[in-house]
Amino acid sequence: MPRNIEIKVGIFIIISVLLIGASVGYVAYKKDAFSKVYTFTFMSKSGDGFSEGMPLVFAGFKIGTVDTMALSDKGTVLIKINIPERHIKWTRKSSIFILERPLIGQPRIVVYTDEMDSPVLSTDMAPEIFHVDSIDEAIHKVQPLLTKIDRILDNVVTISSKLSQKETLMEMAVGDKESVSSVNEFLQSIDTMGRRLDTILSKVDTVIARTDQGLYGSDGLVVLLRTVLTDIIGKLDRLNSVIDDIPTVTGQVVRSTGDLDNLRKDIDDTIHAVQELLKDIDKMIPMKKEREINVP
Amino acid sequence: MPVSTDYPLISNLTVWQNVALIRQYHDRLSKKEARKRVQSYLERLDVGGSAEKRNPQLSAEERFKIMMLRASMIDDAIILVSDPFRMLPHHRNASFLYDVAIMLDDLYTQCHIFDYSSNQDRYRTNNAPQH
Amino acid sequence: MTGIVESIGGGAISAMSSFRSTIFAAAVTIFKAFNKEICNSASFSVLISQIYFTAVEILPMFIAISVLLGTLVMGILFQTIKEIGLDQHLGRILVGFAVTELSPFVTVLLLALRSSSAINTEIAVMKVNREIDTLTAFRIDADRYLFIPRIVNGMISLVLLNGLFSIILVTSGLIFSKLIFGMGLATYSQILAGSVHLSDSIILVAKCLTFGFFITLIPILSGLRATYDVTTIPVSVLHGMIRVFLAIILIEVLSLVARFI
Repeated sequence: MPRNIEIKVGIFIIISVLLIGASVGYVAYKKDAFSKVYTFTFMSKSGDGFSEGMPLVFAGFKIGTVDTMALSDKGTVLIKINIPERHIKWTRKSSIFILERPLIGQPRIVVYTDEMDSPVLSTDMAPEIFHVDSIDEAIHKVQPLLTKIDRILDNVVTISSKLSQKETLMEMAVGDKESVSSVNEFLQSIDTMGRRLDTILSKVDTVIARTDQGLYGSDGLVVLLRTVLTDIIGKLDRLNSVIDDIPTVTGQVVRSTGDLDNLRKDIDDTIHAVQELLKDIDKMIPMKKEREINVP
Repeated sequence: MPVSTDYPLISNLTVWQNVALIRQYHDRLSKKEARKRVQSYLERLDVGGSAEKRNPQLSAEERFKIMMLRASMIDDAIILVSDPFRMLPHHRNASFLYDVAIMLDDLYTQCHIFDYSSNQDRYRTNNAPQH
Repeated sequence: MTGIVESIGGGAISAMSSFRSTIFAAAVTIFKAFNKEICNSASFSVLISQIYFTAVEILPMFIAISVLLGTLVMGILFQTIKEIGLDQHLGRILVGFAVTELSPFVTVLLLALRSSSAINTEIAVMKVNREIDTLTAFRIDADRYLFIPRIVNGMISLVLLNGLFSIILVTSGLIFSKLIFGMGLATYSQILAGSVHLSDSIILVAKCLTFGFFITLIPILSGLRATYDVTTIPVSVLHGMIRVFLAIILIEVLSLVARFI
């Protein structure tokens, strides 16, 4: 065997092994195989959806891995998660940990940290991991709120029909000026709320694409819906009180019947807008009708 | 150890590799050491220049010498030469065969030649061994 | 009718017998490979020369094919990922398909085409020329001197060439991730690292070793089936290569099953 064959084989083996070794080493480094790893204990009411090896994700980047799971004496599930030293800074005392189970892809635990000034999470703490079963659960949670909106809008329709009855309008119209302006103010509020509901709809769209943050974050859909509902309920209360007052002020003089026509038109338009909005919500977040979800 | 056309040299090895193989495998000699020893034996047989040749490049005489040397590489070897004139068709008598055997006599204990009785006369030469 | 049934039965028995003898030979080879007698300079020389002919000589062509195929496949793959919106699964597809499946499959095909056929022919020629008998006459175990170095060479060459192919694929991926997704090295390597799992890596190495083992063992066994008649050489190579490709498919299927259990 010529000597140069041995040299060539030697060079080939050395270079190949070095290249492969360097690649494996680089990947291992990126996977934090060489850095110090801290084990944090988390708590969950249920072990459903968790599995060993599941990733802990911050801003789309994997920062840790579920190591082990155990049932505590109190009946809660203790989840031990390994986090490399360089990623500990992303987990703060104020962080929120949510188990996400998307329709496509692996389930994961997502860390939301808004306050980076908050102290770093220590290993002796056991923060809770909340469950979110993606779109299905999100829709399930949103559904009661939408039903509530539906009910409130039914009330608005009732009010509208009452207002459209001439004698009732007359009754109202002969009320004082304060009562009329109060109703107008309410109608303007409904218009504003309609625009806000439009915003929510666009958020629902995003949710279907995948944004649990959009649902549960500080600016999330659920929070906005709550705000809007509270607003609607408050305005309706005010309207109710106005309507309640009408019989007491019927003795007072009416200013103009032209205002009454405008008032009725405004109310009808607003109600129509809100009903359209409701239809859109029905289409986007199915409750009774056909389901239409864009799979990513 | 056989010296016969039925046991040819390994065709994908050179002459020295064919001979050294026995020592490398059985005595675990290093390649360098085996090469050194084989080269000295080849020179003893006047075929030192053929060390890097392969089987098809050898003359009948060279091939016979190499096969005899290879057979001698086993410790305390008993060499069995079978039908040598098939390997050395141009030779009229066993004189060449005896010369090669004598050149290597320190490397084996016995050497037996098997041939057809019709070739008996070809073995009556001046250099025929006593035993 | 009876003749057809008989031929089917005969074929099945022959296939089973061939499979059994291959597995038995594999077991014997593995057993002998761990014997200390394997350690001699002659066997080592055979190993070195085999690595040279299997891996080093093929290297320029192998790298050229890797670059060409790797660039093409990664370009199409990344473009498709972008089109169907599976960007978030880029790493998993890159590692799971390109590195774990495509790379060993292409490597084993290239080696089988070049080296398995060569080994089969070489052993068959040695059998016909009675060179295998010569080794036996000189008390040289053909398994230890001829076959095991060739098998070890197959395993080493496949692992190393697969490693090089994978590196070329991943490098092509880096270029296309930049061009198609505008992704930098840091993000790309982070995605890649996040998608590499130890179990997949173990299966990949095991698969390469198994490929290397059988694409050399089967041609050797097939070569030994040749008789002292020269005309049996091409028949032996033909049968050997068919068995090699069947073995490649079988190992590929088994590795997929192992990955997705």
